[in-house]
Amino acid sequence: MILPEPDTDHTAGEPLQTLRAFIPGADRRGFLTSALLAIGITGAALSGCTTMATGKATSASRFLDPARYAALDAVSETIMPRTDTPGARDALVPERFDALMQNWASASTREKFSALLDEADALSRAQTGSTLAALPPEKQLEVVTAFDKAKFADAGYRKFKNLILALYYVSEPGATQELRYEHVPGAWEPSIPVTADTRAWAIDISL
Amino acid sequence: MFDAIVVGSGISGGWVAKELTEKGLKVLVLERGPNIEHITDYKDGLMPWEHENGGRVPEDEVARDYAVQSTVYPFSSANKNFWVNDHDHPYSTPEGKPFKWIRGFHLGGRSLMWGRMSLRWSDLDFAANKKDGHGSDWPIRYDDLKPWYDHVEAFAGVSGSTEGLAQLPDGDFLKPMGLNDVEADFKKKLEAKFPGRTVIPPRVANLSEVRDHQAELGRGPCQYRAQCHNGCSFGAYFSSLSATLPAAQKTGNLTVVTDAIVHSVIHDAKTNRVTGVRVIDAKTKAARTYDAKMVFLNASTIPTAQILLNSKSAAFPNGLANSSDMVGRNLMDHLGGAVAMGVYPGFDDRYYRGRRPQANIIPRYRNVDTQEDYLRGFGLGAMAFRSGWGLTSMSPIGVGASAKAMMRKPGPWMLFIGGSAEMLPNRDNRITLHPTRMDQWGMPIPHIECTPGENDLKVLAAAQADAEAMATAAGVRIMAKGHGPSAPGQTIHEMGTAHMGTDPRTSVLNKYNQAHDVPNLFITDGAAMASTATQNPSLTYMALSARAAHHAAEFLKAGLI
Repeated sequence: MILPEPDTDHTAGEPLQTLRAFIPGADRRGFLTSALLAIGITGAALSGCTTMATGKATSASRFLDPARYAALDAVSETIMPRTDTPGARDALVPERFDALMQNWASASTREKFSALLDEADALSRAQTGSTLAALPPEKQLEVVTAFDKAKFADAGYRKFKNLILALYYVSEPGATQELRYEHVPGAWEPSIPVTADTRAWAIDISL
Repeated sequence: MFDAIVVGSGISGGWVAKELTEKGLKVLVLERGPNIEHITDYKDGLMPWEHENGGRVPEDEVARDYAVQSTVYPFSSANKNFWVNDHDHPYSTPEGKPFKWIRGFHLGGRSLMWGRMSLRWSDLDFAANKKDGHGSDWPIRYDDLKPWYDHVEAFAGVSGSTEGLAQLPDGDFLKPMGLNDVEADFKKKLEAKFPGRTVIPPRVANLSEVRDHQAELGRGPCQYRAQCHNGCSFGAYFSSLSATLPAAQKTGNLTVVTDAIVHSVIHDAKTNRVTGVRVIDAKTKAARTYDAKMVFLNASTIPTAQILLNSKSAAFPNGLANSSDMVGRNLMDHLGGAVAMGVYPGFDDRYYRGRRPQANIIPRYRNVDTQEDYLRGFGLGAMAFRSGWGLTSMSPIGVGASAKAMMRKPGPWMLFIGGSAEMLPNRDNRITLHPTRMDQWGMPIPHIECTPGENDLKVLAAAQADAEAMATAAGVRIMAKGHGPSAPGQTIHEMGTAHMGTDPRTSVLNKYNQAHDVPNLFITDGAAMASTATQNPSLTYMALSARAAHHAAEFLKAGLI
């Protein structure tokens, strides 16, 4: 696995009071904090997903217009496809993402994420002459792979991608079928072997 | 007329209420915030995918109402009501000198959200002010507090290991929460390469096992869920709501009034006794008073000073019990900012199960037997974990089935070392009452001025250098490190604004946490602290509270107050 280099931009900021006196922290936007938040040191705080969407939302009640929603649906499933376990669509990631746009996102986040969906579609048109949603899965993978590579340096894109991943991995199928989650472990077992069946914890150490 | 009024229901107020009611005193606990029902009002039972907005608080609401509180890592939609609305509870700081004041105004206070690390002080700490001349000499030493550490640990329940370290005294701990394999390897390497240094399991107020008196209060064992900050329906971690207030309720001697903001303490100049408190109803804003034979201030470090400064009279024109002019001064925190984190080689075949509720401790080793070119010391913690999807996805792993497969397996082990520095007492770091701004209840808002000093910054720099050196020596490739101090307040160990001391001219409280100026006024929250040491302070607040309550009850019985 490739790990990112330290973010030299991050300035010392709030402590992660998980470790109380021990973990002072970095700016919320900085690498360290993001990393710790992302691995679930926040518990459910930033890595959860919404329950608000039930999958029954109709296009009329959606936040995103049909074209952007179709792009979101394609991007989500391409980032996290159904394999031997459920994919983003199975986990209602697009619906939940849309609900967060409505109920959580600020105007600037809405704008940024909408623009990213437009850009993904624009890239698709430029490369294939078609919208992303209209492409077959293998073509979608080519376009989204290129898009991911081109945009990865953009913090707004990483936030977008992280949200899609969080909505998947902290959904019930993502956390319990693809990865593992026990709400009440009941024990701390500090040393267990990794076996062929071992999967990562969807939500890990939280202090 | 109550025997005692306790202002505040947090970790120290809960202890005072328990101890006094168990001695037969009629006690009124006043809480400025709303009631919270243990268990009923917790959202720890929600599955992660059931949280409102997946735990996210809307971005606009965060910017408007939680600009400071949202910087606390566990802040989420599941526990939003445990943090104050910054917009409704203003305070001021000088331009360019931030102080992050993290607060919870509700029954139980921050005992609901605390980090639960419970560390005894030693004489290295109680003697520090005297040794180097900064601040007031503590009027007590470890021997004075040891029986009370024993007392509060036994009741609260603290998991930990017995280590025999003079600088971090042992207690009668519940079974420890062990190190994982990488932490154990790090411990071995640290001990070999840096004699005198070690890593020990957390000393944490979570019940790794349950003793009878804890079970009788309805408390159960820790389930290793890492839901602590959402409240624990198992009552597995110590809080006012899981432990002290239920114990006090059992005596039949406790009255709790919530939504009651204490405006000031009433002082009778003829007898030089406090007679009660003035209260503003948080909901109706109506004023009323309560009478008692003695008053304990446990409103937390900043509000306790705020109340004293707002209790002006002819006898105390600068605020109650403030003949020393020390009320509000010597505001300290632990100065955070030391961090080293990176990839720990090997151990690909090892993992863990459960979510341990705290990190391990690297007990103090600087300025224990030798003297560095800085005074005092720093606290360090260390933990190791395997990176998961969140960290992995921060690298350019692409998208689709191949990326999914990569995130399915536990990723590389990471070691994290973090620390914070002891801050020296400094009389110019202080809270005052804002000269013009009032909150909506008519209280002058606190003006907080707190700037790290030269020594504080040197200690933090030493902590940073050591964290990096220890990680590197263990073979860690460092990926993230601290870049200087975090804002004071961010460690949430603020203390010192009405400190204990031997001399009434230079301190506010005597060795019983009794105001030098007013015999029936006691303060046992963080305000009482004469220095910060390097340890997390809550256990010491608890021990001081139980000890002061014991002496106050004796004084009352003897007719001395």
